[in-house]
Amino acid sequence: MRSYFKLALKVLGRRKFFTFISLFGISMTLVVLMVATAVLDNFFAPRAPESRFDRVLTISRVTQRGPHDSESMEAGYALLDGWMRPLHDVERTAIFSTVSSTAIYRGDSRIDTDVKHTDGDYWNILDFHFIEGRPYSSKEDAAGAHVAVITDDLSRKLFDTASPLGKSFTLEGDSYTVVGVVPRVSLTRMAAYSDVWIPIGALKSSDYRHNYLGGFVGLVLAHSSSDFPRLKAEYKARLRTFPLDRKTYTEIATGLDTPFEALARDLTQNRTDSGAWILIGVLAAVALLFMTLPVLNLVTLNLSRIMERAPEIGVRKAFGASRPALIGQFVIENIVLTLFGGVAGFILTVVALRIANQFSVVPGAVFEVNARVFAYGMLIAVFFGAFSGVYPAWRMSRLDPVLALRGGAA
Amino acid sequence: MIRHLLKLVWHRKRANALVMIEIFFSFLVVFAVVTMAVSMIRRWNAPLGYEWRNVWVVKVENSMAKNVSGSHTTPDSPTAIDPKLLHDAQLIDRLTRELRGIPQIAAVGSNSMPAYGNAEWTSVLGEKNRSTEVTADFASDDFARVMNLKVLQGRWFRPEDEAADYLALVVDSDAAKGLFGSIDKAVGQKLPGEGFRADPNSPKEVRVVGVIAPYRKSGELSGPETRMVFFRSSLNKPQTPEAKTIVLRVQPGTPASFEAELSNRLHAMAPDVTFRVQRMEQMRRLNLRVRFTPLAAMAVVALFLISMVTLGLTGVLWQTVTRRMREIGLRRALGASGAGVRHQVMGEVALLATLAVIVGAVIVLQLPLLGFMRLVTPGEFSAGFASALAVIYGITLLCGAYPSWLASRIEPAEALRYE
Repeated sequence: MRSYFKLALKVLGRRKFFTFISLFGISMTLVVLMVATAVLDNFFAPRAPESRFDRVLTISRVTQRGPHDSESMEAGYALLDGWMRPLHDVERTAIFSTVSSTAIYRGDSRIDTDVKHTDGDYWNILDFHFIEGRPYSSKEDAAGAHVAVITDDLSRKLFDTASPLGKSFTLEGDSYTVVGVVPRVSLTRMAAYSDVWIPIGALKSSDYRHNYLGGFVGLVLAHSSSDFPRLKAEYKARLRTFPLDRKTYTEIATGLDTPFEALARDLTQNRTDSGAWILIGVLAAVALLFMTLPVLNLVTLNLSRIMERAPEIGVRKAFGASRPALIGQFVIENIVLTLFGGVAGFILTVVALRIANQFSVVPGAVFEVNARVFAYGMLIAVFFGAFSGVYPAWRMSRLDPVLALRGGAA
Repeated sequence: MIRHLLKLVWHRKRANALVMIEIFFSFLVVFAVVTMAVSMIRRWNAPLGYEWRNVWVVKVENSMAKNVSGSHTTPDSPTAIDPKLLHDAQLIDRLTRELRGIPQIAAVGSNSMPAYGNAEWTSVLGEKNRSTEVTADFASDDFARVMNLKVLQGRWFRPEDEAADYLALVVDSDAAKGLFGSIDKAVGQKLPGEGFRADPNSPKEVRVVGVIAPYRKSGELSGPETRMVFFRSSLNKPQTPEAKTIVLRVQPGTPASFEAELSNRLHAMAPDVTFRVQRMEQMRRLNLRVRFTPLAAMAVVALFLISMVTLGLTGVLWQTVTRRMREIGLRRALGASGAGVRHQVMGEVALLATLAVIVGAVIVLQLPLLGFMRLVTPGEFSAGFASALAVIYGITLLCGAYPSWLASRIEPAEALRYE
């Protein structure tokens, strides 16, 4: 084994131009795949303030379907209050509104602001780090208190460096008092993201209480993720009592989803299940399609490199090396090459993400490479190396030793 | 000559097959990227059909709930107009009239789904045998003046339409062609009112009163087909989706501070309503960013793929030349010139590229049959195809250039002894 590694390094050092081309292809391919992984990780992996989201299920998109019409939008307060809140044996449930974009005016300047309305338990499911102050409670929500939690970023824009606690600002004609300050949140975190958080009870109209559809998202914090199947089944069973408008619709499609399933439901609308498998399939297909060209490139390069080494292989064969041994040697050589490419790709990924963060491609999002992304990247690298090494190795092992020794095999 | 080259290529078919597949995939990538680029440039330069500068958009939300379709809130009698709709329509009408009095505001109108926004309503219009999918919106009588719409035939909505027993409709020239075959025939056409929506308030009939220039609701990067239609939003017989967005044109040079003032005045006019003021310029910037970012990412990835293929191909051809030293040396020894050898190597490369491109072209030419033409025009398609051909031949010949030069410099005496 060790001699294989040594040999691999020797061979790679011999033809520098080829090694460079191969490494360039491999590392850039991995950069693209790792950047994609880092972005997906940023969206879906549990992380503060959504660090408990490995135990959280959400209800977001609801579709009503009939023979002629279908309507698809976010859940409504009435649906969440009546069909999600009473679920048995869960740690907590919370309701919040989807983010709406608005503006706060300070003097002559306009501050673009995203607002989210939440209930009190929202703060118990998400674990925000409070720089100052505190969240608002369920009691304050019920009383319709005009209080707000804001981000440090907005606090600076509104009140400069002074502590904002107890100060108030005007939003859409109403005045709110700041009770807490949290760090800025990434736009990629659907449940956490906002600039200002306000109690649902502070809404101007209470119409929302009667709407089954529109504007709200529900969160369920389970005791553990092993409860998910039970909760999903219970929610589905409860929905039989939903007052569907039978004149137009025959079916309501909604479910308790993990964040990934929720996105899948959004993208693959008009299905009864969440369509998570479709999304996974599509992502895998895109990745494979993208890898086709780099793999082909590597295979042709490897092939021509092997043919160059025909005399060496002929000698080994003539001295009795078995086919599996030869294939193994070459595949290992290729994996060593791809691992080098993987490391180079990893470094380039870090650089690329840093640049992306600098331009803040997605507001508030800090894309980073963590152990998980690195592990995925290396996994992809090894897969890539084995994949592109097998066919050339097989061709090599079939070389006729007599022809190979003369270096003339085609 | 070509038969001879074919023989040479066939002789090394396995190695060549891989190179061919690689060129084939590169052709597809280049075609996709170039077509996209050509298409985007053309889209960017095409007229929008409206004028976004100095337009401000005020979203009016009477309650937190988004429009929940009539069925949940409509009282028992199906023909009665939903009181909530009526109330909202009157509110918008009152606000519009009050805003008209402000000197900084040049024109005020309302619609349901403003340009550059995310909301979109698609509907199927027309008789059963000739129905067409269109993008629809409700708009007020003054909307055309706010957005500077260009009326090509007939007229925009008038207050007199309120009394008519039909619902007035304005179509853009694209929709007119789709629905009636030509722009000239559109004005005065009638369409069945029932059936395009299951709304009990729908009037019996819809009548086209005017044709406007193509209205590209999704902005500069939206597709070649607009098929936009506007229904007249009525004060007395409002329908969903409600025309609940006020659009206004401010006087040129209005300072940004007026936005805060406008916001305050709106809140004073209706304290229990939520208003969101936005400049269309901002909505446009966001829209372009959202559409442009994935395109840019794809272009970077494609560029990387192509440069990788270029390098890889150079390497493979180089290798091939080294391996065929003796063959080439023999040719030289038998009197072939350096240029002759170079032509042979280049000819082989060009042949490989041609074979790959033929397969690629067969596949690409299927795309129009698969409805791809909804995304690009035939002109863009052919431009993309031609440029992809040029790029692929350019790249392969460039890759072949150095190896073939190497081949032409092979010394026969040395090559024949080469092991």
